[in-house]
Amino acid sequence: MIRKILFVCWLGILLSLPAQAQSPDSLIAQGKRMLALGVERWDVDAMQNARLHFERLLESKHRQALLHYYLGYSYQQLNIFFRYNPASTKADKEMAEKFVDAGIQHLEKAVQLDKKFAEAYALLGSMYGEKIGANPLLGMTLGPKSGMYMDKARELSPENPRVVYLDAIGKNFTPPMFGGGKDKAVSGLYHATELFSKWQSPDPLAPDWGHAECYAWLGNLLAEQKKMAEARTAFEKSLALRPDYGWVKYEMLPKLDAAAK
Amino acid sequence: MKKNVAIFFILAVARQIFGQTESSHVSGRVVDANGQPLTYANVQIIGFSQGDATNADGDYYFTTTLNGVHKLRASMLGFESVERTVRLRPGDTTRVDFILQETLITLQEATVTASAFTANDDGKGVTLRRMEVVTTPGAAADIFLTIKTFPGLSMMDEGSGLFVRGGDVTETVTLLDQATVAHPYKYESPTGGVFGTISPFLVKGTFFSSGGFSARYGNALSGVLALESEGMPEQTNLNLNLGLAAVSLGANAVVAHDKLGVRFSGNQSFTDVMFRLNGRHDEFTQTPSGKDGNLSLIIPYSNTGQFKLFNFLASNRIGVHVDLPSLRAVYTGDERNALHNLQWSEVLANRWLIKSSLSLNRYRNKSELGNLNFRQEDATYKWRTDVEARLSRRWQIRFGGEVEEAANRFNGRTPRGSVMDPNAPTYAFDEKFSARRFGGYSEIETQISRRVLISLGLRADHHTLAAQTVSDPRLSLRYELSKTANLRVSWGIYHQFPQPFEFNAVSGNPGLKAQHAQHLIVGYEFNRETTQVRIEGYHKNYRRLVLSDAVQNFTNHGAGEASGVDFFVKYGGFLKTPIHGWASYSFLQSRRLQARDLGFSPTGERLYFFEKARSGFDITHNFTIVAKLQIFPFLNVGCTYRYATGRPITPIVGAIKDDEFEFFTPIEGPVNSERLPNFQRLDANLSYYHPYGRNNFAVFYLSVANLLDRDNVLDYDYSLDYSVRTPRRSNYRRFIYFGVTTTLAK
Repeated sequence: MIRKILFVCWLGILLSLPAQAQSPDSLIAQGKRMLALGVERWDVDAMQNARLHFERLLESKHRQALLHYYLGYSYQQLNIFFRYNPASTKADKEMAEKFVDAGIQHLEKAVQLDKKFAEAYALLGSMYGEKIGANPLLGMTLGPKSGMYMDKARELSPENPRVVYLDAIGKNFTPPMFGGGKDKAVSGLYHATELFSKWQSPDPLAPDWGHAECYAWLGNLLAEQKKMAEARTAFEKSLALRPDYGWVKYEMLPKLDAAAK
Repeated sequence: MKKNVAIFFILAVARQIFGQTESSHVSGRVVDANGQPLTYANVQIIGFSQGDATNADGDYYFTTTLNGVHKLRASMLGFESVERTVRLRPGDTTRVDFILQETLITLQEATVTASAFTANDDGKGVTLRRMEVVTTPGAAADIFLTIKTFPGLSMMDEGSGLFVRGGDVTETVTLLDQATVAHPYKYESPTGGVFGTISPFLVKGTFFSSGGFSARYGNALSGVLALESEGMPEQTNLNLNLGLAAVSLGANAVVAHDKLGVRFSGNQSFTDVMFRLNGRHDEFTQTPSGKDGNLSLIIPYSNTGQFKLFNFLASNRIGVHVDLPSLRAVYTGDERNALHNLQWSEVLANRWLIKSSLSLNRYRNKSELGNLNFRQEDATYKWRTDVEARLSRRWQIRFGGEVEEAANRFNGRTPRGSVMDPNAPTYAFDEKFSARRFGGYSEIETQISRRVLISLGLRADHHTLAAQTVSDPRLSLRYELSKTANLRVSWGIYHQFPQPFEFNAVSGNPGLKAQHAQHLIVGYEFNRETTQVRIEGYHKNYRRLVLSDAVQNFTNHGAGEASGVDFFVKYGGFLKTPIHGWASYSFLQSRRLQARDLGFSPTGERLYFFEKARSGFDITHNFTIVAKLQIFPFLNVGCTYRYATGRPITPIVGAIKDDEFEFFTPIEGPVNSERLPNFQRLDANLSYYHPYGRNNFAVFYLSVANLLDRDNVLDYDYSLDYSVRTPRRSNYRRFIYFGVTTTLAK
């Protein structure tokens, strides 16, 4: 009888554990969802809360490389928000620069902890591209660094859609004399969309963002090249993946419609 | 079935019991020093991921299953974190409010000591980026010549010698990866040399201090130049440089999946064409030429540990006509310099950074002038270990030790009279000296309040020839006036032992002791994104300096002081702003007790008169301005203008003829009572950056030294009987140099 009581108590303790503390993985998944929601709705509050959530999770010492990656991604999205938001003040834009630096620090930590983390290398290369975007004079010194991280990402995971997508975005902002250009960006984005549709994430916590953004960028560049029908198709595919995608729904598509008239 | 339902029921009850009884609640508000709520501050239990972010009102609230005593931390980007101890009780709501102060300084990022300049490509508080060193007009891509554009450095001549705040060139020590570079100059001269030995392309970081430096640096009275060689290459690439007087090739490679990095560079200089083009070829029998090579192996054996083997070899030759009123001869010089250093670095327990190095610096110089034939061989062996750890957010500790053995050998023949007399008889000499120095230090750096950082250190050195142990306390304080401005005060005692040969029983004095200096520096610094301003006043007291003496050859009777004000302003950065540059001005007054050579007494004894007068390094005004401008994308133009008060010189007021050897011994007038004419020089350069391929680029450059063709006087030469004085003029009349450098990346 005593054995039975002890067994029941032990089971009780075991089952009550999730109530005491969520598992670290579920907390990462929670942060990931929060960030995805923030990005999708262009909700800075959700993005900031996701960032702070990941910062708190660092204290747990669990999957540190991944947490640093998500912190880097949070900072990247916050930078985009403050840099491209028409309502941003000068102080917001200065803050955006600090976000880029903070993001780079976290991503460098991620690749230091996991030297085969292709996703982190690609995002790091992209973040250095953001720094060049903010100050083109830095291109001479940071351009090779950005390219180097992107090369490393491609070398580690050539079929990863986010690697190909970020590389294509980088090419869009790189002058042809440095190996970039719009045409290369468009072909890269087409390739990335194919990879996105086939990509099976090996880990539920691994990054899975970018598919809708990839179509949005593709549509944007195709519109610039006056390929309106293809651009519309790309935007529609983007909205099919993310119906509330504000950038496409309220900015790109109306602009395309206006140009068609 | 009944049994299953019973078990389910028991488990459900157990879950309720165990789950519910352990929750507690934490809430509160986070505000800044003005009471304004802070949004997006993080509040969490230390060691756990449980916590919450503040909302727009600065409020937070979370439920936790943790009970008992815990530490709660509130943190936010740009603010000092605050920790509070809380006792969490099941079912209770604990309210904890926080007031966060804006971060003014952080221990890791702030330089505490005054008078520090850094040059590298990352880190905060960097004075100069590496590309700025390379692109400074008139600095010939030389670290030493670039540092000479900083305040506190005197323009004694056009060479690269670092004369710091009224100190001699020998009072500044040069280190590379902990190793002592005993001979840091190429084409050595009493005022240093023409260029620095170590190329900026081999160096990742540079730290230069013109005084008040910390206890980790010893055996230097005035300054420290600490270089850190390049680490693991980030990518494989090839560099090629072709200039008017040099060709160099370098390669960096990442081998075996980041397990081995290799850096190689080779440089061959041939100045023949350059001197022909600039009309100076006839001055040489052998135009300056040299070659140097570097091979470094970097072996990262773990995420935190690494071995770095740095090897550097250089050889330089020169043959120059000496056309003096008293002597027509040829000076030839042939020097070799080698540095080998094995450095190990590791981070233990995620906190203790250990760096340890074993090094050997070998130097050999053969020189001939008239009937002087001189050969010098030096070897410096060194072991050094440095340990540092951040004990907490506010405390940092450093300690270390070193053993350095310096061996000198001199041989050759020297005239009994003047080297200027071609007929003077000579005698041969061959002498060896060696000395060992043991050093150790410890230093604590702490942020005692939000605004104040203090560094307190003590070092001790023991020298075998001086048979003396000296101890040097050092103290630095930094007070943060605001986020962009600070005050710094540094004070310290500094010792430097004489060179081993000065202890020689015949020509030196075995009783010599360490030379002594005391620094006091007070400075103000303003630092904003693109603008840096620094003003420093300083006072240095010298005691027990080595001084020539008629009876004992050398004594420790020398003394003196140096005081001055340094001003530095910098705007922008290379590839950061379209216009950038810096200006530095130094005011210096330096006096020392010095020996005035009165020739020989009737009984043949050397006669010295000791007088306190301005020192030979007393350059009252030094002014330098460096400006660089991007005129079109990828096309840059720059110029450097330098002005310096003429160097003090001791006039020769007469001469005594030695009947036996047919030469004249000069009689000096008041020590350093005259000055050379003021020095001025304007240098300019033009560079064009041309990218090609994906990561490749080429830089075409053209530089003109002494653009205004100013005829600077660097010294005076005398006739054999010292009755005629003629000015020795600068080798750098208007001088053109051009070339191209390219980098090919994989």
